[in-house]
Amino acid sequence: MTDPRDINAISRRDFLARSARAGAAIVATGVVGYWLYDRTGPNASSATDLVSLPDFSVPQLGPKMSIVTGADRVKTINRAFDSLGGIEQFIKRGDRVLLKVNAAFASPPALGATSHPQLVAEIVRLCLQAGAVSVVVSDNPINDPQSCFRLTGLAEAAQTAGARLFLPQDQFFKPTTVRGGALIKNWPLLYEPFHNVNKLIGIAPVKDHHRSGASMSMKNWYGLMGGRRNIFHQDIHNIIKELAMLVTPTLVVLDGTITMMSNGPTGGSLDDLKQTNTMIVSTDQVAADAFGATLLGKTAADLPYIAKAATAGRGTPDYESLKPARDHVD
Amino acid sequence: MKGHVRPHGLAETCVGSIVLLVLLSVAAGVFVKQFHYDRAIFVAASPIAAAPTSTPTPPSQPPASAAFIDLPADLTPLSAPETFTPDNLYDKIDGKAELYTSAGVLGMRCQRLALKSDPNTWLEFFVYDMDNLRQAFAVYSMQQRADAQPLDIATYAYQTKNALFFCCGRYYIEAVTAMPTDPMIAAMVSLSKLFIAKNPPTETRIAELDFFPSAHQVPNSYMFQPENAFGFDKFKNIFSAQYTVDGSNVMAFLTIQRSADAAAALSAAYQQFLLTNGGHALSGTGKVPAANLAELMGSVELVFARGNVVAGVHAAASAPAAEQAAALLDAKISEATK
Amino acid sequence: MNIITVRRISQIFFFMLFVWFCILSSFGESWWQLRGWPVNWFLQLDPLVALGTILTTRALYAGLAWALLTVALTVVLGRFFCGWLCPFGTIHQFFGWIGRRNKKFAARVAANQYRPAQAIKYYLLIAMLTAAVGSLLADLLAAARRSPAIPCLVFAIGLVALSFLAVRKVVPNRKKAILTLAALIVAWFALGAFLCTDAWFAASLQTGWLDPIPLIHRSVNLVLLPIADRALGALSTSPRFYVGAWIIGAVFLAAILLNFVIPRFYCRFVCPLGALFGVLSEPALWRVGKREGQCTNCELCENNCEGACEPFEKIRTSECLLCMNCLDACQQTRMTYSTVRSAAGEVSGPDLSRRGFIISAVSGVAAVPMMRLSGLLGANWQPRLVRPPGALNEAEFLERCIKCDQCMRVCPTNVIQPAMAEAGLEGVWTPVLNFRAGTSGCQLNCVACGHICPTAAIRPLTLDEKLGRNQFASAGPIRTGLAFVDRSRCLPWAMEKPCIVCQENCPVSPKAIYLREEFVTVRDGTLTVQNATTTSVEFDGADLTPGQFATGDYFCKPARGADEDRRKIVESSATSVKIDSATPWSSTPASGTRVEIQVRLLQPNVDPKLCIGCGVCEHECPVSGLRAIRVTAENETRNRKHALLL
Repeated sequence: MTDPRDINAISRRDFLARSARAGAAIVATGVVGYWLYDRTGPNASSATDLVSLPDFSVPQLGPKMSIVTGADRVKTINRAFDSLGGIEQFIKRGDRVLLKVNAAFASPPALGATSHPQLVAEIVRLCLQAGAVSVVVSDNPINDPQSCFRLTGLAEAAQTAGARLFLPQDQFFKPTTVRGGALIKNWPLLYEPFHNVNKLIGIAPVKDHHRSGASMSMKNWYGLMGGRRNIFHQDIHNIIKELAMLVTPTLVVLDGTITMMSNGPTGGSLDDLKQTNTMIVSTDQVAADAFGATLLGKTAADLPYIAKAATAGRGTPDYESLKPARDHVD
Repeated sequence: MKGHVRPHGLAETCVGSIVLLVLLSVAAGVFVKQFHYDRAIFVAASPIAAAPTSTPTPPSQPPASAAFIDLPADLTPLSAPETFTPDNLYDKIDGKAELYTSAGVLGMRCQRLALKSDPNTWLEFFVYDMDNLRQAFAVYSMQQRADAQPLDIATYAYQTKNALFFCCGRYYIEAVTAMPTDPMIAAMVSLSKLFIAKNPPTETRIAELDFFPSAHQVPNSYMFQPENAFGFDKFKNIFSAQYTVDGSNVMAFLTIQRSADAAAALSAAYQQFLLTNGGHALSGTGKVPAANLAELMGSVELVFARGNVVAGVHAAASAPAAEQAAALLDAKISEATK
Repeated sequence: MNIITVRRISQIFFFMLFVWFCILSSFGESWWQLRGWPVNWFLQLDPLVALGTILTTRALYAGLAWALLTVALTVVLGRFFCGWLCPFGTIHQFFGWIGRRNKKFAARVAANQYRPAQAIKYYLLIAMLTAAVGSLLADLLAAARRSPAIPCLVFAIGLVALSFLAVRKVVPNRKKAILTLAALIVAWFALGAFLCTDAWFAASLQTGWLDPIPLIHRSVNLVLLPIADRALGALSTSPRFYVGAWIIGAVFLAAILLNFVIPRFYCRFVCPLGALFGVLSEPALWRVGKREGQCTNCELCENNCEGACEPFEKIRTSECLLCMNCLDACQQTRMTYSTVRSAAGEVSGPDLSRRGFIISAVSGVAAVPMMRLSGLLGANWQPRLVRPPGALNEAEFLERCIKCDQCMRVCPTNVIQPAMAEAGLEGVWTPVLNFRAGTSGCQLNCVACGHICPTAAIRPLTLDEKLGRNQFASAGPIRTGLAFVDRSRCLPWAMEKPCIVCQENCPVSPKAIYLREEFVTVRDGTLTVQNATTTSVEFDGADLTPGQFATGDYFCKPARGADEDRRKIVESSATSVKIDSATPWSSTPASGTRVEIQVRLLQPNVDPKLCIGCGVCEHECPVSGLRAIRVTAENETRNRKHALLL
């Protein structure tokens, strides 16, 4: 028979322990309740906040452009960067780089519909050499992502060079709105690969496009859109303008080594292609496209989106005003 | 077990009292809470407010450019909308306010609107919120003008040379103009139709009116007395219509009760009321079975119960006229309730 | 004062208050209508609703803060809610009492024994909560990918904590615990960073199926009240209909009838809210139990024990509903409600097995991705799922809707109906608009449903936002869907019959339905002229229905004539027609020539820029079976992916 005093002591201790637990529970619930309290509820644009892309440019360098002719992509891209003072001007030690390539179609590189794997591999190598700690290669293709990145050779090129491949999935998209835009409103953007990224390079081939006239560095950003984005083809020039408003890259690389002169954007026949042997690197995507138009035998005036983007302040079609560094390498 | 009374300690009684107090405060809290709500949500579902809505109009918008109802293409606001409660209705319509307040008006809004093509030609549109169709019908029927012409925009609607009057569910509407030109009348009609379309009534017909036979009826003679019909305090919700019988007009009336027993009781009570107030019972010819007749101050009263309905004739010139009208009424009621 | 009496008063009070709230939930300002009555109070007091929505939305929405009071009181007093407040519990207690009235003592005590199956309600609770936790889990896994530092940090903290606890001898085997922690961290990385499994998980709030407060709201509002009101006609002038309400009624009836098998069956075996209270009441300061002293083992305490908590032996505190029947029954006043634990011992926590815990947790987490395989939130979205205006997009909606069906109760036109298959299994009994079942369409100026929804699954809209006025003018009105004219059924399109009911009733201004005029020669309408005057034509060999063409919609046109030669028919007999004397023939048709009787059709078209999907047109369409104009969820504002136009 336990001592009655002990019983009291035990029960008092137990009561205090329970009071402490009860008190803690009440306080915890109160704190959580207060912290999570939401008087007004969800708003029209729903619970998820809109995301937007930061400015990836390196403004202190000013607008820069280089145009290098030659048949070998590896050589021309190296020379292009060298004429701008080296890629180290743009990619610093510790940077995390995203390469937005064109992997829209499951098309072999020889058909010129997608970014060339050799070029992408070289740019990956250059970034890592400049001290970048991570390079990610991504795109939201029109066809099935796995097949696209595989058949274009981009998957292998990127991974062999040491970059990480980022294939799109539904949960990697978040809604975005372009300020001052009328089309990109609450539209899914491939946002996940941009996590922790501080430099963005767009890599696009020069192609004819049936609807817009040309598909070059500005149209390349279409591959960041999710959802049923084909609806934007109803207003193609304005969507390209808004894409240029959405994205401010560090650099664009416009690969005019082989230009798709007709039947773009898919092409399909080698007869559609012309060896124009020109590599363009530019901080100004409007200027890059304006020059790229000449490779297609067109002028900037033939491509209404160029003027629209210029009016929206995204760059200048007068590429000569950037004093592009011109060079040639065999 | 049974018969065992457990002693209740003080603690138990205290706890019990506290709980009962809590219950009382919950009840009180709930009762107080029901007064506080955002009127805008409820008022939103109707264009009428007894008080202005809580959503303010933007200050940059001059009040005259807003209308409290949707307007057809040819009308534009001439002045700001005005809102009245039962208490200040008098300020707008003077002595007539009594008619509305006794019929249970909740509020009234009105506005002057002009023709876009001719701003000097304008109308005033009054919307009275009478809370339900019967009360709207009450004020509608009690003011029916002698020169009423048919108007087909609603079940209960008529027009005169310069105005439209109609019931739209719980609302009683008057559209009145001083310049009854053809475009103005057309605009008033389309305005009224638009109002009805925007505020579709939940009740469109009054069941009792189907019990009145159409033969020998004086047109536009329906009336609705919510209370105290013919001076009898138990006569509520009495509908009446005039009939021409034997060359004179008689008023037939009816009201629907909850059950046949209640109807019989009310009929008997009215007869009793007549007799206690100086009437003498008359014996009828039996044209209407179980009808009670009485002669009061020179005119004949008749009352009977048929099923749930109490019906009869008021202030008829003669017993045969009363019975004839009552027989028509009885036949129609029996037919309608089959 | 007998505590039992007070408890009964409390139960009856809250039950009547609940029924009163249900009666009041009609939209309007009269004293017996909604006004400011706090009709959602029971739902707001329900901590399972608050907890569920906190897990799915990471927010505690407005009035749900009342649940904090319930939690605080439960943690201090025990399961007072079950025994003194819950209206569903009151019903069960009442029917249980009826069921056992004529049973012998031994049978009653046997019915009130604890059964291991009483653990089922805890497993149900766990499964429901883990289903709700999906998005938190996804974020946790994604954190390993996005910020690899976090799992490392957690590992470091965990190491420190385990060392500390090992020193305090709380954790017996430190090495094993550290290895377990390391394994978990590695798994976290693997699942999050490498396999991207966060894509698998999603949150879904499914507590509404069995949470008693939403359940009883559904059952009373959608089954009992409409049936009662059919006779009384007090709450609604026309009878209310609710699709599939019989199932709700059957569930309710089944729950009640099970009380004849075992008293308070639902409370003991099924109720997840009771399970939550069971967990919360563990530290309760006051508990029912035995005093020190002689117990005569009469077991009278278990005669009417509501919770089957076995007060006679080791009382199971988590099952005790504080009904106090044991206190009242004991002849020796051995039972008490005090701060001291029961002298006969307690089983303070619920009786769960680890296996059961894991099975229910995994089932809950796995159920949501399994339900989502139907693709109803993606390409396979159901166009019949027209949700009320203000509803959130579907994924967020399913995170908030507790299936209380208050929106259906308050909707003035009875168009909000419980979904059956339109929203998948997750969406059963969530709101969907059915314009044939209601008394009209969705009223233009009504925002009732969003303002009554206790969890903001339907947002409370201002009228300006709903109609796209003032500051919302650029956003435009809220659209619930889009009306489509079915030209194969519409009278003017398919049957050559004039009708413009849909256009007349379209409530928006300018109207979203516009009309195109079309003249069509009626069947057998080409007739030969016998003779004609300036205002009439007599036909050769015609046998028309008298008056058939006199409705004002019919016209007569010489077969060789142009549109300008068309004349309106004002009278028609078996062999002739008269045209409007204000517009006589410009050239009278000659004998022997042919004329055509034409009907003037105004064919409705919908303008998708203006249509808000309110459904008045569908409701009014005279083709009363499968309507000739129907609203489906295309172009609904709540999901831009369903937009029709740019």
